[in-house]
This record gives sequence, structure tokens and C-alpha cells, in this order.
Amino acid sequence: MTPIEFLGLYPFQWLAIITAGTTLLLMIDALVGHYRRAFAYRMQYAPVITGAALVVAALLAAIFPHPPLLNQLLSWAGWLTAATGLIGFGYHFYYGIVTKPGGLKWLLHYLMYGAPILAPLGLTAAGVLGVITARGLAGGNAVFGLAMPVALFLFVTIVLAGAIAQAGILHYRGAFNNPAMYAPLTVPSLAMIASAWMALAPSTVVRAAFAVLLWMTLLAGFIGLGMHLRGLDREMGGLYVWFSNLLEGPPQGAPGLFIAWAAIGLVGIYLL
Amino acid sequence: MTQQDQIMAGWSLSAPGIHGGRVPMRDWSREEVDVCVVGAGASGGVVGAKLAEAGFSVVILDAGPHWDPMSDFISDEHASTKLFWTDERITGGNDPVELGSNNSGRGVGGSTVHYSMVALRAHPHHFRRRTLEGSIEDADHRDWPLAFEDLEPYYEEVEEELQIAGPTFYPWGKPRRRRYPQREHELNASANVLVRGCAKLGIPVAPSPIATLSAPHEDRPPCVYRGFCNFGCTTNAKSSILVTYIPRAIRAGAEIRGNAMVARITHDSHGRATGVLHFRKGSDELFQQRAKSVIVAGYAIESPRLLLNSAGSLFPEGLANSSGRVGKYFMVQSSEQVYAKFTERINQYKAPPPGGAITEHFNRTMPGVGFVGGYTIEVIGPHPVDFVAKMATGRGLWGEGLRREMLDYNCFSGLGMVGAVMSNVNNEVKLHETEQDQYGLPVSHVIFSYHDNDKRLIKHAREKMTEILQAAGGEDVWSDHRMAHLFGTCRMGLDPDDSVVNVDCRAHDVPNLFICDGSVFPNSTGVNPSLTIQALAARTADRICDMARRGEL
Ligand SMILES: Cc1cc2nc3c(=O)[nH]c(=O)nc-3n(C[C@H](O)[C@H](O)[C@H](O)COP(=O)(O)OP(=O)(O)OC[C@H]3O[C@@H](n4cnc5c(N)ncnc54)[C@H](O)[C@@H]3O)c2cc1C
Repeated sequence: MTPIEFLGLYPFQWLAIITAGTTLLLMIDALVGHYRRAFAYRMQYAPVITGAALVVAALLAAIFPHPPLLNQLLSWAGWLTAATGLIGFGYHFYYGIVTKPGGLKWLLHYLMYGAPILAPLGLTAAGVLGVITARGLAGGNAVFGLAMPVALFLFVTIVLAGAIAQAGILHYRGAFNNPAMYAPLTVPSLAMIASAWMALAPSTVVRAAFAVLLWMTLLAGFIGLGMHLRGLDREMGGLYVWFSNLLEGPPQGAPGLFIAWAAIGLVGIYLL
Repeated sequence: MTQQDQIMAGWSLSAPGIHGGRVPMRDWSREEVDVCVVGAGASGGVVGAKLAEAGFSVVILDAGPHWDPMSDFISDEHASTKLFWTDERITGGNDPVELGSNNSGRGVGGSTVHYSMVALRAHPHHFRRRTLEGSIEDADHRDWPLAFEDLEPYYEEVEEELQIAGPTFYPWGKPRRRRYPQREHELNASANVLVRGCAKLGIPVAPSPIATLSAPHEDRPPCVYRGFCNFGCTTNAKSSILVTYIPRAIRAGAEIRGNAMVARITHDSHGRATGVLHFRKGSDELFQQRAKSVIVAGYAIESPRLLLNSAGSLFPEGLANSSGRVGKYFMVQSSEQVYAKFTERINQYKAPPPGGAITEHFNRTMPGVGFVGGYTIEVIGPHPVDFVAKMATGRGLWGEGLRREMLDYNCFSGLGMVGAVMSNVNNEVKLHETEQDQYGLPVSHVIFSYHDNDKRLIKHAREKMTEILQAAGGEDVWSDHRMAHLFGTCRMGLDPDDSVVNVDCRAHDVPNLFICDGSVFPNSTGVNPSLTIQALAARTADRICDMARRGEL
């Protein structure tokens, strides 16, 4: 395991915490969204169950980084969650778009109003992150045939692309009614490009810029959390009927993903 | 204090506002204003607000109250009849128009307080119907004296203010230069039926542009899909004139005087309007509001009635009526509705009545169908009291049979058309010879008969709607006839002998009198009218500003 610590924890312990955090956000998002549709399909419980398993496994691994059994557990939970996410994507695509009136001809409509198409893939990403983390905790320097930092930078590139796309769709649906809604399309896009760059052709200049962009993305995520809370308050009845607005308003945890994805990039830089 | 002082002090300085409070505003009752607007509806609100912002002193009078959405609007079909103009009117002709809930509102916001919010632009060809369709026996439709392009910037302006929620790509009409300000709404179950049916039949169908928020805007929350839009929106998501242009007008220093029924427009010996005489609630005295210009915006029945009631020695046939065209060429839009029963629950009342989908595929003159003009097909969502009446009139059900069918209310889904109607000189609004209203003013006598072309168009639409509902899996299809929207009684035109107002909505006969509501349409279009009425009002405001600048008023 890499010996450098940050705030008393090793980088992969941090990744385990980030795995737990992102999974928790995505799991709650799935819970809220599927509750809103009254769990019409039994499969809608799947992300909640596998997600919970991954959260527990990741937390255990963060607290006890050494026991191989816990590493193994995290890896299994990761694969399971990743598979659930893929199946979920199929469901969201099929039931959320293809079988709806008008089907794929109304793609734009259902991207905005059908089941959020990229959300299950977020869960897949969290699962893969769990697998990478387990590998790192077990002392591996490479994963999927890639050096650890490169793997993390590629990972960040992909998940940022997904998060930007999903935020883009939903902020478009909200007609960018607040200029701050353009934020996820700006800084994180640059961070995404820098991340790809770092994976393919790293240099100290890019690395410095990447670090700055990641911190800015992280900050934007925190601001986003505040803005989403404000967005909830701008729904009919505001915070007074917070529970209904939790179901109708902006997804409360979503900006947290930008925090998580940026933090992974920072861990990657740390590992260089 | 005179009675006038008491009434003015109590009501003019303020109007009921949010949470039973009062909205402070200017009081122009004792002064001569630059502009007095009669009617605070779709057109009056727009023209009044824009002129106030341009620096004119403006008072807008409305016969009905200044509503407070939170306390005045009740989510109850029956209690909401107060939103409609239900004063006595006499109807006649071969196809008498049912007046009231379906075509005219009363109170600040006018009909937009309870309208269905479908916000469509007319198509370029609607402005040139006479040229394109040629002359037709027994019909007298005219080209508009202006083109679509003249209104295009005003459509954009009004859509922006109302924050119309519409699709990214709208397939009909002239391609848009700018995206709708907000995104389309989610489809409700009735709209799903339309989309499903059209998809099966290969008929293009698109999200419907509507005037209710799909995202927060300023201090207004997005729509929560309660579905009580036709009874006054209590959440302010609906972009009625009451919550859009009226607050703008007040901020700019206009006075909105509710409960003020205008009885007559006064004029001087030179034939210029000098103001209006109006009744205030609680008094049978006539109050004078002096004004340098008067704008009539009372909609296609009340506007001509007011002009006819304002006859004087200089204008024996009614104000601005030297052409004899005031009240003539009255038009409606055909709005036949077709319903079918489904095996699944539809809950047709949920979400705004337009549901979120529309097809304008038939909104053009089609070859080989035997009629000119076109129509749109829209989603509708009547509430139970309205629906039970339709079941009685449209299906002839009564008693136990009606009760049993109503148990399936939640499984019905319906479509409605908005169809162009031919203009005809025999269709008119005139003063009734004997009947008077509560103010002692002669009531309107509204005469209407369909043209054969209209009947063929309605038949075509009924067949298409039936096909769509059946393709979507509906059974027991039945239809109910209705008419909606009013036009044409003060038509605009270039020829003073054949029209009441010119292209700027200025009366040919009275230079400081304008009429800019639905009554100026020289022909009916195949789309719901409010956006065109509002765009026209926005243009009229700009034209008045130009004229004032040039000293031509
Ligand atoms: C149920 C319903 C649904 C509709 N749905 C749609 C739709 O979905 N889309 C669409 O485009 N259109 C729709 N319309 C039509 C649209 O609302 C009207 O065409 C539009 O509001 C007319 O605008 P206006 O300014 O001419 O008149 P209004 O908006 O009706 O305003 C006229 C105002 O003048 C006042 N007034 C009249 N006479 C006097 C007087 N003598 N003194 C003082 N005040 C007076 C009235 O009280 C009223 O408030 C609908 C209408 C109804 C009734």
C-alpha cells in the first residue's frame, strides 16, 4: 500500500470512503426515484439492496484496510453493484424510453422525463470504483492492466462525462432557469479533458492545471448541493412540504457526485 | 366625503392582494390619464402594462374583481363559475353559441384566468386566407392587413414574458427563430393516448406549447399538475395575465380598477373619445374616468356591445361604426370533442388540460377533403361536473345509465379540435331591443350559424379524432359538440368602409380610440387565439408609442 497519508488515512482508504459516499448518494437517489414510481417493478429494489451492500463493504474496508477477506468482500460487492447498474440501464432504456408512447421518436422527451438514463450507470461506476479500491487496498499497483493512477484518471474522465451529460439533460429540462445551472457544463468539462490528458500524456503543467480544475469542480459540487436545496425551496410549497418536493424538485444528492468524482482525481494525483 | 370619494378611497388605492392583503397602487380616478383600457384580460393586460412601462399614465378597468389566487380561486368546479362572464346574453341563429364558461371570463386577468393555456402561433397562411382560398359563397373571410412576419417579434416577446413551455423542435408553422423559453411538460395519460394513437396511424404529433411553468420563474413555482387550471390556478404556475402583465403594469404605475363595469365611452364634439363612464360595485352611480385615449379590450362580445352602447349624436349607429361593421362577422372556433373508454385508468383531469401533446397535422387546407381551412387536435381533460353534462348532451345518457357510466369517469380520455370557422356578415353581436342587464344596459344578442364548410371541417375532425382514439385502444367512442373562442366583431382592415380598425388597431372613425382584443380578427385561424391576441396587443402598444412620439395621437 502507498505509504503517504492524508489526514491520517491512506489514499485507498480515502477511495473506500468515496466509494461508500457515492454509492450512498446514488442509492438514495434510486430509492427516491423508485419510491416516486411506487416500486412498480420488483427490480426497482435491486439498486437499494446491492447499493447498501457496497456501502457497508466499502465502510468496513475503510475502517479495516488490511484483512484480505474484507478486501474480497468489497470487490464482490463492487462487481455485484456494477452488474445491477448495467441491468438498471437496460431497464431505464427499455421501460423509460422504448416502450413509452412514441418510443425512440420521443427520445428527447423521455431523456428529460423518463427514468434518468445515466443514473444506473453511475451505480455501475461506483461498483467499479469499489473493485479498483479493493485492488489498491490489497497492495496492487495496477488494475485492469493499467497503472493505478492512469486507471483512476480514465475512470474520472468517464464518470465526469456521464455526470455532465446527465446534469446537462436535467438542467436543460429546467430551462437553465438559474445561470448557475450552467456550472456543471463548464469547469467539470475542463477537468474531464485534463483527466483524459493526464491518463494519456501526463505532464507537470497539465497536472497542475488538473489539480486546480479538480478543486474547482469539488467546490462547484458543494455549491451545487446548496443550490439544489434552494431549488427544492423554489418548488410549490418549498421546504415546508420538503418531502413531496424531494420527489419533484432537483435531485438533492446529485451535485455530490461531482465532489466525489473530483476527489478521486485528487487521489490519483496523490498516487503519482 | 361623497359616495364617490368613499368608494375611491376604499377601492382605488389598493386591490386585494396576496394572502388577503392589499396591493398598493396609483389612484388615477380624479385625473385625466393618458390611456384608459377597458378590460384587464389577454389583450388589455398586455397593452396596459407596456404603455405604463413606456411612461404613459394608465388605468385599466375591469368589470370583475381583482382576484387573489390564494384566497379567491377554489378547486371546485361549481364554485368557479364566478370566473366566467355569466351576465345575461341572448343567443340566436341556426347554431346558437353557448355562452359563459367556455368562452368568456370576467375579472382581472380576463379569460386567461381560466383558459387552458394552449399557446400557439397562427401560421403565415392564416393571415392570407382570402388570397389562398379565394372567394367562397356565403363567406366573407379576409386577409389580415398584416403578415405573420409583422407579429413574429411580438409572439417572441409575449412567449418570453409568459415563459411558454414548449418543445425543442415544433414541427408546424414557420420555423422558430428562438427556442421556447421553457421546456415542454411531461405527457399526462390523455396525452399518452394521443401520442399512441397518432404513432399507430403515422400522424405527426408533438409536445404542446403551453403557458404554465415547467421550471421556477422569478417568484413563481413550476406547475404541480393538480389539473385545476380551468378554475383559476392557486399556485401561480399558470402564466395568466393576472400574474404576469398585471404586476408589471402596477409596478410601472398603472392603476388596475376591479369591479368597474364600463357602460359608455364618452366623446367630444370633434368626435374624439374623452374617457369612459363606469359603474363601481356597490353603487348605481356612473363614474367618469377622463382619458386622452381609450383602448377597448373587452373581447368579441363586450367590445362591440360597448361601442354600440356608446352611440351619440355624432355616432348614431354606435361609436366607430360608420362602416356598419361593429358587431358583424362574429366567429367562434369549432371545438368538437370525442371521447373513448379505456381499460386502464387515465385520470383525464390530472395535469394541465392540454396534457402535453398536440397535432397540427390537419391545420392546413388539404386537397380533396371538400373544405378549406384546417384544425388542430388537442388533449382535453374535463372535470366530473363538466363531463357528466357532456355525457348527457353528447351521449344522451340520463338517470341510472348516466350514473353507471360516470363510475368509469377515470377511464375516459378525450380529444378536442380547434377549427377555423368562416366569417359571415349574418353572424353578429347586436344590442337586444328589450332585454337589459343589472346595470340597465341593453344586453348582447349573439347570432351565429355555421357555414357548410365549417360543418364539413368538423365532420373530418370528428372522424380523425375517432380513428386516433380507436388506434390507441379506446372503445365506445362518442362525441360532443362545442364551440370555443370568439372573434371578428370589430374587424381590422385597410378599407374604412369595410372594417372597424386599421392595422394598428386604431378605429378608422375615432383617432384616439383603439380596439385590440380578439374582436379585430378578420378571419379565424386554426389555432387557439390567445397568443395572437396578446402579440397583437403588444404590437399595438408599440405602435401607440410611435404615434405618441410623432404627436399623432
Ligand atoms: C375555458 C376557456 C379556455 C380557453 N383556452 C384557451 C387556450 O387553451 N388557448 C388559447 O389561446 N385561448 C384559450 N381561450 C381563449 C382566450 O382565453 C381568449 O381568446 C382571450 O383571453 C381573449 O382575450 P381578450 O383580451 O380579447 O379578452 P378577455 O381575456 O376575455 O378579457 C376581457 C376582459 O374585459 C372585461 N370586460 C369586458 N367588458 C367590459 C366592460 N364593459 N367594462 C369593464 N370590463 C369589461 C372582462 O371582464 C374581461 O376580464 C380559452 C377561453 C376559455 C373561456
